[in-house]
Amino acid sequence: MPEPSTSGVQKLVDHLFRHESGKMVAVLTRWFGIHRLGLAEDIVQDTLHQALIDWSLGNIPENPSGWLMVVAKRKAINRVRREKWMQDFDGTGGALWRWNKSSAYQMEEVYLEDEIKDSQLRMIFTCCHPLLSTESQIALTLKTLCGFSIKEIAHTLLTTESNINKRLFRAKEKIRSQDIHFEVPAGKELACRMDSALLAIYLLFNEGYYSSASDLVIRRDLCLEAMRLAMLLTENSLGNYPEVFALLALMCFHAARFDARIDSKGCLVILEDQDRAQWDKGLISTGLGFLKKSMLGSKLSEYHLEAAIAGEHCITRSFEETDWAKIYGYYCSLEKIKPSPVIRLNKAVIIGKIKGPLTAIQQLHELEADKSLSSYFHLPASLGEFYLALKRKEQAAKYFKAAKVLIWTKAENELLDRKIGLCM
Amino acid sequence: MNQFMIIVKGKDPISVSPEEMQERMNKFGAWVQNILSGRYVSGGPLDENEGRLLKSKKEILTDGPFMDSKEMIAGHFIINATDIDEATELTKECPLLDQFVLEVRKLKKMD
Repeated sequence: MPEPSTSGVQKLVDHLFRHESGKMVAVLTRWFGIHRLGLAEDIVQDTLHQALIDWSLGNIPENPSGWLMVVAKRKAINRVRREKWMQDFDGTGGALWRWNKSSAYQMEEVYLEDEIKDSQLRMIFTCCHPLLSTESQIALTLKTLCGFSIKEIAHTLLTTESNINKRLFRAKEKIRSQDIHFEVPAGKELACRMDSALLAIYLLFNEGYYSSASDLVIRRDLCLEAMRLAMLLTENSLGNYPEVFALLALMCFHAARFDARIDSKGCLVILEDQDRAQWDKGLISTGLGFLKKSMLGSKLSEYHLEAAIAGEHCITRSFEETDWAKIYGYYCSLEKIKPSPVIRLNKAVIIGKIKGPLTAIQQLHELEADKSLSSYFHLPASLGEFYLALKRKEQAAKYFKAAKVLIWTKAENELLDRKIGLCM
Repeated sequence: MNQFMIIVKGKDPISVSPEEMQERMNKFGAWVQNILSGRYVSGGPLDENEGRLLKSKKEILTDGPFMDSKEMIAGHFIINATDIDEATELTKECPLLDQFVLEVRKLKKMD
């Protein structure tokens, strides 16, 4: 008895709809112009809806991605015809009319791939435009490029749907009022816009990696999305940007440790206690490959140094064998590029590994007096750690308790409770 | 054993995320496999772009009431069931109900 796509359904790649929706929105926006982003999103929604019914009751096409793109384009053409606003087309609207409705999509694939990549690049540079606030950049990127719904974005970023709606609204307003073009910037402007895009991707990754959302699946998705977007920026047509590879390396090294840093109960496992056999060796070697590519330029970015630090940990067999002097050197260089109290904190902790707890404690107290890290739980937690190493349990407990007031996540809370237990 | 046609109608205008949409597709597959388990006979989607409504030889509508998305039939499928109650119970579990209206109709046996 012929059953419908039941067996085929299982063959759909994970996140296919999400990823394809990002591509379709980008391509349609290129046709319609950025001011009709909402229309592009509606058409994509409608396309996925049709795929749901057609593929469920009929068959999954051989090339699901191609099918989706063709259907989305057809719907776009129908919509434009119906609404008769073809005369005020902006963007590359002409392509819409040259696109032949009857042409088989297989024939188009070569052209299609370029079109999709170019559209996605335009979308990245638009979403990550420096005129938009970081919050808006991330929300808009997740919505348009990553195919997240408002609800999913709110859930991921631990905020309300109305908040996300406001951010998206403000972003779209800004794009309109500042006349931000849907394009890949050229020349000198590209470098500055590239910085802005890399930062947004980096923050997106951190959102997933350090987020307090307890949903691991979602957090992992965010990290993967960030890596996927960074891959788009390795496109040759953009020229050589070694920091893209540095960022990719950094993300690979972190992602390699994703599973090992959370135990079966959802508790955070610190680097020292992680089972290094659980680290993803494939990702580490991919990361090393990216790190090598990132060395090809003369520019040393913060991503280079952060990747070097993370990479150093990844290739070291045990915590005891860590080359702290080398890592300390990377932190010193990093501090020159972007001085921050967090880097000073890290340096103090590493000094503790090299010269012993007393030196670290002294430097950490200096930072404490500085107050700029007064809401950063790592400061009291590190103090607690070094006092504990000196067996000064009373002071250790005091600092662990101070850290507890500052944390957000359950995993961190449990970690600190365990530490306090050790001070008894 | 009787046969029932499930007519899939209408469109839910509520927006569903791409991820959820894919999840719904997986759920439908699982429903056919686990709940219907062998009772699925045949089915298919309908093209929403091409359709005519014929009221008489002369009166042919190209843009009839079936174009109203609430009324529009998106597709159908036929299942085996002992009676309308069983067919209804099975259909109640169908994940397409999240998004569509489902009409269960018994096919007449003509013998």
